[in-house]
Amino acid sequence: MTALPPGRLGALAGTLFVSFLVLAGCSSGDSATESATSTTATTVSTSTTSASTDSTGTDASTSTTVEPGFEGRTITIDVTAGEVKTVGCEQAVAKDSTVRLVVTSDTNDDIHVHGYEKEVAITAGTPSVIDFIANLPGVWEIELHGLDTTVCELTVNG
Amino acid sequence: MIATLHVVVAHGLGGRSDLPLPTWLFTYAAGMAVVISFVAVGTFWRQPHLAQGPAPITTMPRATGWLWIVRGAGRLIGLALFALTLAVAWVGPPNGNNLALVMVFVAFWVGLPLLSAVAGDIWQVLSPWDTVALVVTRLRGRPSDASPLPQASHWWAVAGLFGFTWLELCYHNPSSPRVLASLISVYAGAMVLGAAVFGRRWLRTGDAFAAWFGIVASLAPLYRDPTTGRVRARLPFTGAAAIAVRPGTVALVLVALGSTGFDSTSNASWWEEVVGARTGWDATWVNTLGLMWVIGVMALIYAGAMRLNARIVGEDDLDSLLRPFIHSLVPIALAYVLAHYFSLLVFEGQQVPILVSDPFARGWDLFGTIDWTVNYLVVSTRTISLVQVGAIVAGHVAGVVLAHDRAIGRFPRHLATRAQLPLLVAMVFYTVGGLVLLLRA
Repeated sequence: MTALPPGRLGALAGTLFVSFLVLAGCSSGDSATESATSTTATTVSTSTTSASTDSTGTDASTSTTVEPGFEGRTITIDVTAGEVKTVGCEQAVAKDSTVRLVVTSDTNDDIHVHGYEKEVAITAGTPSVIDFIANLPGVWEIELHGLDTTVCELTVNG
Repeated sequence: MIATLHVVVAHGLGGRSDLPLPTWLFTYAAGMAVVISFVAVGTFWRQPHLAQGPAPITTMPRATGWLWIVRGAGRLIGLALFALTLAVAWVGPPNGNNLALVMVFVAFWVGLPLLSAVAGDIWQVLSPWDTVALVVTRLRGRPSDASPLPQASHWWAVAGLFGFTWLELCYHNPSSPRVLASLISVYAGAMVLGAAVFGRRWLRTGDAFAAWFGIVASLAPLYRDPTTGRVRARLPFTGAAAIAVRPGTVALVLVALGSTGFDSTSNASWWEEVVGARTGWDATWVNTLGLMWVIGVMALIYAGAMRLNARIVGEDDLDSLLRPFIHSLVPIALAYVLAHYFSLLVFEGQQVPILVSDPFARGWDLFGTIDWTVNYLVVSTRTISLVQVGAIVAGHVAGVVLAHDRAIGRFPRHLATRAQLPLLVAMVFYTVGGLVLLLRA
């Protein structure tokens, strides 16, 4: 082995490790959010309870299908004049938990949950409720076909 | 709007992406890449082993006896699959549930290079344009030599490969079977025309897929001895040392590397924000810039490393090392493909038997498979993560070994160690960068 001056090798090793640490540092930011999203079922259920009470509260006048006391994740998707507002999609759900979509649109549309192959027609002005067990891990698109938009990328942890 | 393959493929069943890589797995893999690189500099072998080309391990018994049957069958299968794909693309369902999309973007574009890296250069046999050229030359009583022209460049192939990845990743409506049908027809016409003008041998370098799949096949443990025609075995990855580097080969490998890198990048939420609400051609142009940008970054890292290397060893021409070391990036490019598309191949590939039962949407059930559904539990998310990380680390190790072997054979002994360092750093960037993209694939 031809000897590299120890100082120079050290400097190079240092540079490499710094670059590695920088990249690892970028990732640890992700890991923080990841560990936050994959936390226990209790935090998930508290956040979803509040979400579901929200939706029952706001939609109480128009909807009779959304019953209170639902255990699981509720994702509300509201479409007004082509603008989509999705609530409850950000955090990952645990595998085998129950997911409820509450979709309200001011136009007729079709909602499609990829992988789970739930495809439901949406009637303008009427909230539609879709329940399913999230038993397929991965990141799944939930799409409105009429609007041709992905309204949620649902992460189901394995 | 996400310009990725899972949108392209089969509207009805696609729309899946992988879970982010677990951070601990990322940390281990990235750390291993750094450590392996340093071990390579210090303690790998000190004599080049691959300079004479890979040493064959064994010859398959009486390989030439049955090989023509396999090759003939392969040509028929290649022609049949091409005819089916083109027909389905033209007259099959005009939406994402078209078999041609799965055939082209999953089986052909992902499956074939991975298969070539194991079984050797099978596109040489499957290529429908080569079969047409072979038949025409035979009918005209000409000798049908299929070896690549020695002076030919890879620039046609660079254009073809960039065009294909542009269609897949940038064009706003890649899941239109009719657009795909038009482009397949144009490309097939161009290949037949090229073969008519420059001869059948031109296809080996002018056809983007012959060129790229052929380069990938140099990694395979199986190969066909060009002089004896026999199938032989060699150590995996070692064949890359014998790649014939032509004008354009460096660009070809970098386009392949960069396009997979861009596919990962374009999944990232920050890139979706860049594209924003743009649709149609506006989105196409933004994605085109993105693709060129990622390929450019990959090229800059490589060129920068090799220029630094040239400076260290005192080369007069700073670009003189670009060609001799490009083969070491081929395993890394293949690793990107496997890491990024493994789950797509496993899941979307299951649509081939489903869609082939009713390829023209006539309500057929030719093979009784129409009711099958994609089984998303066939591999676990943990397995997917391990395959991704295993591929990236294995590709890195193979790249480091290939570069090391070339460096000690080429550079004076007292400079060989130091001269390897810039490329090693570049490879660590490629590898760690590839892993970072998988953190949120």
